[in-house]
Order: sequence, then structure tokens, then C-alpha cells
Amino acid sequence: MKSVNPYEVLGISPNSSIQQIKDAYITAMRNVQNSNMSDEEKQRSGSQLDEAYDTLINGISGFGNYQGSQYGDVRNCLNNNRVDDAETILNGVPQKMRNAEWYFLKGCIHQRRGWLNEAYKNFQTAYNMEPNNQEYSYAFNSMNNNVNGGYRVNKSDKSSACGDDSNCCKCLCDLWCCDSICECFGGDLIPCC
Amino acid sequence: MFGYVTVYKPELKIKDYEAYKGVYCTLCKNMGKKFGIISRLLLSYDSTFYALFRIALNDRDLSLCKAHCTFNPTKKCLKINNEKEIFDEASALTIILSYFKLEDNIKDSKGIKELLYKLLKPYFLIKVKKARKEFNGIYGIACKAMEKQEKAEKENSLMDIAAHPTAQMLKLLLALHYEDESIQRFAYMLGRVIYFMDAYDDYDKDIKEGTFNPFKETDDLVNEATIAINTSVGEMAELLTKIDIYKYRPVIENVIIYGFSNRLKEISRKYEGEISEPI
Repeated sequence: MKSVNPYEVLGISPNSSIQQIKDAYITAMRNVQNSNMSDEEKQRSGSQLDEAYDTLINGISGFGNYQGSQYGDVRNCLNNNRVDDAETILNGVPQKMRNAEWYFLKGCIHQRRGWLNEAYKNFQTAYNMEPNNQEYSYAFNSMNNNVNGGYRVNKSDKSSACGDDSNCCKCLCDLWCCDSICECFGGDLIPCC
Repeated sequence: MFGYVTVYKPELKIKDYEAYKGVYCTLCKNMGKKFGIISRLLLSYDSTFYALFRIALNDRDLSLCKAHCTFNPTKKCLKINNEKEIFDEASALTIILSYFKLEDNIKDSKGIKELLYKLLKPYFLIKVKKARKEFNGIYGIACKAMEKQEKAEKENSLMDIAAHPTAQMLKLLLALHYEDESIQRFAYMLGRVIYFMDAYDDYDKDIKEGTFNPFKETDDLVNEATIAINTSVGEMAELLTKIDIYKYRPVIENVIIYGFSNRLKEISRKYEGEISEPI
């Protein structure tokens, strides 16, 4: 498959925000659906848009910026689940030129395989080299959190936080429901809406 | 390699503990029926967890009844009447894994111990033959894993590579039944945890006898083992949220979240030489 610039496909600039990407994707998708192309063509353009969108969104939430990365091809491989290819490219980089990102990506590869020990060590190296990088510190800290038994705390914390959250939502939802029902019967529980 | 996948009772509700015991008892009975009464001694928590996990992953209703236990006739426990295939498979798995454990022991020990293990071998050979008739796939997977394990240990390789055969074995066992990637990764992580727990537990013995241990090269044993085990456990805890579990969720969560860390603490105590606070 030939590689296309996902930004071009969606018709946006490379420094667009996630929201802009989403909007562009939805608009483009709608245009395709409403156009008078044949079904086959529609499907082809649709999947092209899907792919571009996935690359960008995964790039931002999963493997960092698509742009401005020295190892864009490695990140691409990882996004497409081609772990072995990604490793081949990384291993080709001479020892002296390996920077924090190199170690981070190496860690990602190990993590995909389930080789968490190596992943941990690589994330740690990346983090120590560039402690201010959010991507590396997040990867390292979330693993380190597990090492310190964080999965235990997480569990109970999460459930209680979730509980509060849903209670709050539920309460608001209930109020809204009551208001609507009241209005149906001609009354008004909450006069302002 | 047995007995690391356990529940942590203080954090378990009584009804969940009883459900767990029900699986244990049913598996025990099934083993007796399939492989003779002596085989029941081989029953392990790990194969119990295997059966429990398999049952938990399907949404069929269980038919339960109360039955007497042969070993402790005064007590009654829950017995599961259906899901026979799962229990048959778990029984076969127990036999096959015990057999490979025995082979391993014969290789690792000398003198009287070795002789003793060798005397046990004919019994296992008969039972394994029977198990293979129905579940040759499991035997094949286990056999391959053991071969690879031996190779990995000879090469004195990275910890991750040393754990890979065991982890891969569990992954393949589950892959026989489930295509879901989360489930397979869960199994892989479980294999890693079991392998590292076992290695950590046997560390002192292995060092004394000069046999392979993945932690041999490490300076800070407790720390390294904790990293190896807890990263995998953390991942399992996360995967649990992605897997559709229809039954026994509290039990499974208990094993992952409290069972392993409790076991880890128990082993660590041995090496730290001090009593750490309870969880």
C-alpha cells in the first residue's frame, strides 16, 4: 500500500488539534456519503479517511506526534501492528545515535510482545534521559505504579471514584427526568429549564 | 511451578470463597473419576484457576448441588454438575503438567531423591498416556514449551526470554478456545507471573545447587523480582476490565489483585529476613 500523508487526506494542517481532526474527519465522511460516487468508490474513500484518521489519532494519543518525530516510520509500524518491522528499523540505529525516543520505542516494542521487564528498563532509560517528556514519563510512571502495587490502590480508588461520578450523573439525570415528566403534566419542577 | 495462583482469603467474601471451593472440589472429584484416586493428590490451585477461568468466560448457567467429600466426609461442598469438558481438560492439564514437573525434578536432583522421583515415573507415564488420548493438543503444547524452556535456560538469556516458553504455553492453551486477544495476553501475563514466582521462590535453592535461575545475575533480587512480577500483574488487572467475564469475577479479581501480591510478600519475607506488614 502506498503511504499517503494523512493530513492531506483529511485536508487539514499538520498542527491541527484532536478536535479539528475529528471535525475534519466527520465532515469529509459526510461529503463522501452524500456525493454521487458509486458504492465501491464510496467505500474506498471511506476506508482511506478511516486510515488517515486512525493514524493521526493513534499518533497523538498512542505514540506521540506523527510529525516532528525522528522515528516516524517506527511509530507507523507500531500503529499498524508491525512490531517486527519496527524492531528491525530500530536495531539498525547505531548505539551512539540512540536517544530517549529510541529507548521509548524499543520499550513499546517489548511491551507489545509482553516482555515487560525489558520494556520497563527501556522506559526507565528514556525517562532518565528526558524526564520532562510527557510521553516517556507517562509510560514509565504507569509501569512503575504497577511495580509499587498500584493496581491494588487503583482498583479500589477507581471503583469509588466511579461510584461518585455515576451518582452525580444519576442525580442530575433524575432531576432532568423529573422536570420533563412534570412538564408533561403541565407543571414545572425546575422553572429555569 | 505449582501453587502460586491462589486466592487471598481475607479479602474474599464467603459466598465467593464457597464458589471457588466448589470448583476446587468438583475438579478434585473429576480427577478421581478420570485418573484414579491417587491422582487427586496432584490437584493444584493453578489448575483450579484454569477451570474457574474457563467457566467464567462462558455465560452458560451452572447446575449446582451439594455433595460429600471423600477425604473429609463430614463436610459438604458445592459440586458443579455440568461443564464436564472443562473439568476433564483441567484434569488432563494437571496430569500433564505434573508429569513434566517430575521430569524436571529428575533432571535437577541427585542421589536418593532422583531415585524416588524415578520410581514415580511409571505411574505418571500410564496416566499421561490416558490424558493424551483425549487431549493430545495440550500435551503437544506443554511438550514444546518444555523443550524451549530447556533451550532458553541453556543460553542464559534475558529474563523475558526465559519466561517466554511458560507464558507462551499458557497463551496457546487458552488460544485453543478463545480468539480474543485480551484473553490471550492475559494468559501470557499469567504465565510470566507463574514463572517468575517460581523462579523467585526457588532462588536460594537454585543458587545452592548451581541450577539455572533467571534472577541469578541480579544484584537486587527482591527489587528485580518485584518489578518482573508486578508489571505483569498490573497488566493483568488492566486486561480484566477488557475481558467479558460472566461468573466468578470477584474470585478472579481477588487472585490477581490480592493473591499474587500476598504470595510475593510471602516469598520476599524469606529473602528480606524480616516480617513485613500485612497488606
